[in-house]
Amino acid sequence: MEREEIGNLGLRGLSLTLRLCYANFLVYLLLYVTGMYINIYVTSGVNTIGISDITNIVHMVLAIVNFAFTFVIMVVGFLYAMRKVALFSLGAVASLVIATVGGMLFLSTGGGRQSGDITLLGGWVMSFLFMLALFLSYYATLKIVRAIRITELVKPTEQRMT
Amino acid sequence: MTVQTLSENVSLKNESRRARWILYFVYLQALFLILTYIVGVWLGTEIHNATITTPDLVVHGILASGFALLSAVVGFLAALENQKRVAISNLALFFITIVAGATGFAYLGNNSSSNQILVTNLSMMTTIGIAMPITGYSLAKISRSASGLKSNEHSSLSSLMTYFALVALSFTVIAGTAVETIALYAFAVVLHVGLAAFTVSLVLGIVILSVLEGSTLDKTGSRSWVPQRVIYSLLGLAAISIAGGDGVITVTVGGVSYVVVMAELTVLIYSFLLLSIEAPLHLNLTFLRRPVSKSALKQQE
Repeated sequence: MEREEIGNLGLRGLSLTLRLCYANFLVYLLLYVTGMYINIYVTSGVNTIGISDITNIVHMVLAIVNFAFTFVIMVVGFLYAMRKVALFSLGAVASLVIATVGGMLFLSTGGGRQSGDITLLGGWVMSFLFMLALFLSYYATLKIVRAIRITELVKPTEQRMT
Repeated sequence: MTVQTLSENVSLKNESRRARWILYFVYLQALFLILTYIVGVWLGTEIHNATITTPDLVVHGILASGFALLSAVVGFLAALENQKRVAISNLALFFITIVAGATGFAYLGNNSSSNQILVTNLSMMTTIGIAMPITGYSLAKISRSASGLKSNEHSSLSSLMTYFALVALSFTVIAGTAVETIALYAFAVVLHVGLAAFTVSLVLGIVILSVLEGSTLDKTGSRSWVPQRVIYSLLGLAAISIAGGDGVITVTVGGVSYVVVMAELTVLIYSFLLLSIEAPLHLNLTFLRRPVSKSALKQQE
């Protein structure tokens, strides 16, 4: 228990942050589904995707929401003394920034599988860093869950002492 | 001092420190709003056929994303600090900003359609309009809790007047955007001028109320006068008067560059109104305050 970080958020705040993490995972899932739809059904052959295509708009909106949620969790980690949550989320935020650049590269250089090597590179950067961000967000969530467990364990002891 | 009072003091100190952090985020949010608005107006009036790689558009996108991000941060941190209204309003603002951003993406794929231009302009300007009073409200509420005051204490009359002025300013901005649409032109011009005049009267009201605050005494017997509030509201009044003059030039001479100037003046008014709510940069002006005589106290009672 010595090395565990519970921060100074309190049980209510921790539960609220955990709910945000769950919401973030839902956004990750939807982001993955729309990304796969674009990959398999839209750009699988010679088709390209433009910025105003409805699936692409939904995908980009989800990417913004995902980035915002991860960023909020990072800020909470920094402000409420949860170093590991902050650092894992910071890694996820950095991955999402580079993934977004990859996505912009994909769109601006043709937006299709057969548009050239740079377009494909953009797509690969986007996919790889999306997975990395998901992995780091998972660890940040795990730390919050542990903090909740410890706070719940400590609370009855404190109540008995008073 | 008991253990309980010691722990209460520590928790109050922590709360105030966290509130100060949220306050910095609100300031940053307002700054991003101002920059997004200016670059957006510049894009709308000066650059035609913008594409995804247009540098000004990339800057506008990054600034708008920063604004949305800060709205989410302020909203969630306010929720953690039990500031319900600030949290709900900022989280709603976050989702509204994202919807407005989505219309921007749709515009990029179809930038010649007049209908798409109208939807994009109005949705983005409405977001700016909604954001103005929300940032003002957040600033007022959070600055109160940062200075250790309870959030359920009544706001001063000049603060309430400032909220109204921010709401009137936001409606003025939205009506101003509708002027660009031929079908709405006549109605929008009348509404824009009327709302601008209403905003001028409200800002004048803030100046008067800020001065009058100095004539009343609080419970401790000292005057609750904030000279900075008078200065900021006067600067706001000056900016809105120049914006009015600029509007007259736009109608008579024409030219979109005057519209950009008007937008820049609008953000000046917004900034001064925000500053008059929180009235930062407090100078030690206690030497200006005359000691209150007992007879004055009695008279007021």
